[in-house]
Amino acid sequence: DLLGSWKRIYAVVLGELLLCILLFRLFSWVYS
Amino acid sequence: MSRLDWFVLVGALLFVVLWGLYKGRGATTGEGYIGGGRDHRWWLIGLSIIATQTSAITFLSTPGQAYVDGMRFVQFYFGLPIAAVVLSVTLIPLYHRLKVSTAYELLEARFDLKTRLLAAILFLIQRGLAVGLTIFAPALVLSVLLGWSLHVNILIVGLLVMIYTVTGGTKAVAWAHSSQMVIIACGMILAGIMTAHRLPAHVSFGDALHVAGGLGRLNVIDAHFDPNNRYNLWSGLIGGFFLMLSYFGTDQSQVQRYLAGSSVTQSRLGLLLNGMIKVPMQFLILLLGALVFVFYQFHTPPLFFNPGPVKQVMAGPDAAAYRALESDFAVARGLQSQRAEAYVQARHSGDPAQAAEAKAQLQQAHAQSETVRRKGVALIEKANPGTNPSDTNYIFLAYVLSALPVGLVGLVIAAVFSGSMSSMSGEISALGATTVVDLWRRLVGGSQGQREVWVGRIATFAWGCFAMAFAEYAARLGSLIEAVNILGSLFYGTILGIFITAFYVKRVRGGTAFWAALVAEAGVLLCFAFTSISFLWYNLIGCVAVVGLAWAFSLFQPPGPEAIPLA
Repeated sequence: DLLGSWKRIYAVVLGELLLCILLFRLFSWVYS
Repeated sequence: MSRLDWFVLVGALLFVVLWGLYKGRGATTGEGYIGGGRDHRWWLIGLSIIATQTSAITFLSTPGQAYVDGMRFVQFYFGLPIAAVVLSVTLIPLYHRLKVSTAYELLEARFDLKTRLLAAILFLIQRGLAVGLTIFAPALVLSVLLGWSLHVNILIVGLLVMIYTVTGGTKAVAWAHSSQMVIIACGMILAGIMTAHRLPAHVSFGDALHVAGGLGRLNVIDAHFDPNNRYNLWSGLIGGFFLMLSYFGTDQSQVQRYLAGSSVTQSRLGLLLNGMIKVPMQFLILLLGALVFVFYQFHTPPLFFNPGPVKQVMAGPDAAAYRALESDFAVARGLQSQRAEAYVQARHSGDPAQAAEAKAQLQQAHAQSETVRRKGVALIEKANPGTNPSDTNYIFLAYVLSALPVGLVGLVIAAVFSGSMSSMSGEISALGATTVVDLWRRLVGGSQGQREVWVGRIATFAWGCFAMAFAEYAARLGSLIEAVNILGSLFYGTILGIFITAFYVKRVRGGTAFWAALVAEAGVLLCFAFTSISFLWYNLIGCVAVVGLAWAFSLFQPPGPEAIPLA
């Protein structure tokens, strides 16, 4: 036993999910 | 299929088998065969996890789902990254610390043998049946659209998988997965690029998205809470979280992938890689389906994409009525194409009022053609009583066969085979491992040497044969297939509840968890039989029921030694 600490890696993974949800919402709104 | 398509298809499949055989050689102990030598790096684990979850029906059905229903299916995966983080913190370090080979070994250390066997047998039942459907569903689509024999198709997929899986075990499966993911990624990316190119020259990518969005196909997020609605933000985040927690944390077909990691770090990073890739990957596959939908705004699609049930109508008394509907549909779609052209032109004119008017007219034309299609589907249902005629699984491959160039057709079909093989190999390998570790090694007292490699090979071979036999039988199941598909959700919640009790309800000992699991499972089956609650919520119901009942039962258990703490 990449980003220096596990907390930071978990934050990146969950942050990406949140970003996806927000971008998908924006995507639906722009093209509806 | 042209000669070039056959060359690409056969070449890709041979490469997968030979690569798996080459990389999987040299397993000399049971631990090496089942644990893959425990030297896998994070990227290999990540690819292997994604490949096991990605079956052929994932990318045959997913674009079709976007075509028929829009992109809201992506919400199903929102719980996955959260589950990956929770498992990285809790179960992965524990599995490594206890040096287990299967997830269920842990339950005997914490409770007793019968709780371990209950979880292992529930896994063997639901995964053993599901693996048969994993190879049956795509084989059926290929046999209908290409005229190939269903039996030969199942036999080829099954035998190709067994060559490297039975011989090399977990290591062969993981390396074959990496090559299968390359084939799948190439096939889907090239199909997406080519679909965008096949749109009319004056229709830009932005225009295509506006057409798809105007007709309700880009409805990605639905924040409205409704327990009977299968795909919304909350069913994905809550129900999906519990499903993914159970699937990645307690299903041996996934646990075995990251237990092959060389350390806690490698296993965690592999699972987290899957957590980061899966949602964008599903979004792109659904977007491909939305582009196919736009393609068919400018080309006339068949009234129904699955030719099998249509043949039944044409052989019956409603043949003339169906033919009349087909010509009505062609006229309606012709009008819809004109309206789609007009909408694109109106958008280019830069006049918002004109664009809004053109969009309303396109929506009206689409509603008219959908009305004709529904009448056609009603005739199909009448001619095929007792079945649920759906063409969702057929749309993408029918499009590929009719619209994509030579060579790429072979690559997409190689991707379909790769998806079938990747799921089947991961699953029969896990079924074999659970049979050896939780039944043979534990109940018969087998050793871990060379003999166990052969027992593992025999068990894996037997599960492969069972999967192929069930796939052959599945053609007679009809709509029961849907029941087998949700079988996972019927058991997953209960298994997850046992694991959560093991961790966090320290007063529960011995057989208490076993009896709580049996009662909770009966409750889930009653929900399935008598309510319309969407299956994603069974994962939460089963899990909460086990934890609550185990705690309640523990109030009446006789005093005994403290349980071995896990967390």
